[in-house]
Amino acid sequence: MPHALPPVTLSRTGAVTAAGVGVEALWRALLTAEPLARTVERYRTDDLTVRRAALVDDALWRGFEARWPAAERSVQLALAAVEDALAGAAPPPDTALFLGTSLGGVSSWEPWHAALVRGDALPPAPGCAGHGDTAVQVARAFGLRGEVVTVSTACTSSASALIQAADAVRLGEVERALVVGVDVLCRFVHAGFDRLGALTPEHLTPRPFCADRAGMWLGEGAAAVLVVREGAGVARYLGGGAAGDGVHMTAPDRAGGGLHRASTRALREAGVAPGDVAWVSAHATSTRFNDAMEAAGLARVFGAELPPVHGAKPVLGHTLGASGLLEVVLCVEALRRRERPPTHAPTPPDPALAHVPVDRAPAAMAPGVALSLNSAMAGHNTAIVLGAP
Amino acid sequence: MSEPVIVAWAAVTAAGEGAPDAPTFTALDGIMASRAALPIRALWPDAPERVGRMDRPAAHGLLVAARALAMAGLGPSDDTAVIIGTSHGCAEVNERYHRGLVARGAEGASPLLFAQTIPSTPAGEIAIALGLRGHAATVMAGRASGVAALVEARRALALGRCARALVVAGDTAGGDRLRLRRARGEGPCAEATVALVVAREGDGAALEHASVTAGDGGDGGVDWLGASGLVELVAWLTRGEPGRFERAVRCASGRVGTLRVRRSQP
Repeated sequence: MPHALPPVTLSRTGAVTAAGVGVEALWRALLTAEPLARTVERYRTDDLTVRRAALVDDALWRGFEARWPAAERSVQLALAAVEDALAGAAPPPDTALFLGTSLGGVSSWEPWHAALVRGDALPPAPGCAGHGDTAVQVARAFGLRGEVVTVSTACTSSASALIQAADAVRLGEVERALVVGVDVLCRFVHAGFDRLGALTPEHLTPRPFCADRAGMWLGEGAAAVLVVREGAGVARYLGGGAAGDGVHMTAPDRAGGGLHRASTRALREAGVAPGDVAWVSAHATSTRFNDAMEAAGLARVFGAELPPVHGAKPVLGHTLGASGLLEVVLCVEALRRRERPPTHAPTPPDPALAHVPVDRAPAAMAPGVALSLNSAMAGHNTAIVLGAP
Repeated sequence: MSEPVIVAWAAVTAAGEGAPDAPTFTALDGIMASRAALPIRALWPDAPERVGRMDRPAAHGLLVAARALAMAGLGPSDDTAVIIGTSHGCAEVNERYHRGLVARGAEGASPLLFAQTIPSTPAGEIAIALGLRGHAATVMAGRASGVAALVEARRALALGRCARALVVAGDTAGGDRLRLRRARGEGPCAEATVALVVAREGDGAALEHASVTAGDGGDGGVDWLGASGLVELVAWLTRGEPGRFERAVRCASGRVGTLRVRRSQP
């Protein structure tokens, strides 16, 4: 089947997660399938039900702060991921930047606003306070003079950013695009998910598609991908789709309609059939409703025979706006290494979702493409099809 | 890329519906601002009940989105994209949610408010209320956010992601964000929300060019926040003037949005 749209090349990838700096650290952590979340001490959690999260190690943190002392934390993480992707080289000045984030500079705004609410003396106004400020500061740090846009669609932010960047490159409007996904955890967001009841209790690890799944743990991190029109690279971006559920602001479409529409678009754009998909990286939050929605959407895309499905969030935590691009980086590695990492799923599958095949041990990757899926509050869904270089 | 066409539009500002050339400013929290107190129920008697539970950016966005879709004669569709451009996003909801968390600890953190602390809330609310379940995006580029949304609309149309795009760009100005603006040395601002329906073809004004690149410095015009440039565009469209509308929206926050629209008939 011919490509409906020309592919573009993912020439380099980088990552910073609770596993450390680098794609190799990310891959090794995923092969263990062991959650990286620990009790949080960096910000106050004593009044929260669930105190665990997968934070970037404090030792690494201090390293970033030493190298970019004036930068806000989301900027530091983003810069570290880009440096990892480019092996320390700076991107050319005309590189476009598409930065996906759910929170942006909220962690810097939080203490300023807390002082305001308490009536304390106000600290200096944070330069990076809004969702759109992180991208500007990353662009300034590298001296970028091309297109600079923030994409903020909650947990699909960086996947959406990649789709938009690939479109810009395909149309020849930009020569190359740097795509970054980043989110930093803080009390603001941890308390919110805790109060939503989306976090699994301390004694029960996240376990997508399992019968006793009870939610997620949060994480933080950053990913970076350089997109170019053609040439050698680590993977090919073949197609992408985004679609709204149009059903509910916080609950997913139980029929998986938005995910189905996004996936159908991405596969059509890639010029591949569902049977060509060798592996699915699912959003897999381990919440009751998301996993059920995703299982329904996958059944609509693939019918009775689903390819192997993976969930990275039990290991890395749900890194919110960064998760989409981190999972794209994971797909790139799986295709490149021809290996499927296991999913942390220690208990039997949910009988209602038993049609979703989840690897519980590493396995060889069959020939084919990878499909990366993400979903978000406000009913946003994305699907990205990737192929080996 | 063929030129898409702006076939319908709507706007709300502090002056009410429609796009004035200049707002009237008053002092709010020590900064001059023009802030709408829109009687949405009066303006839109048959608005969906849920509009009363929305944050102001979503309510304003839904109002102008419904107006623009009606002007274009469009209804629910999986082939109409919803593309949001915003500078401040959910800042006001962030403040309300965070005030509860600071004042009363975790018990004061409202899960209902937390669920709205995402800039894509207007996209979700518009999709639900108007039955639009196709391509969706939310982009942020300071004052150039509306232009960035038009850039994304052009690309989505060019690659066949949608048959038409509903672009909704704007911000509300209020709450603690005004104090932050004052502390950061930012100037007066005026809130506005604009909706444009952009199609591959039709009667209207051709979107010749839209781009957003890095750059600094204010443009000296009214700071309509994320709707900057688009408020003036809608004023020009409404007046029915032939010729070109050109605008460079310079953002102190590091972006320059460039917009060029052409109309051959009055």
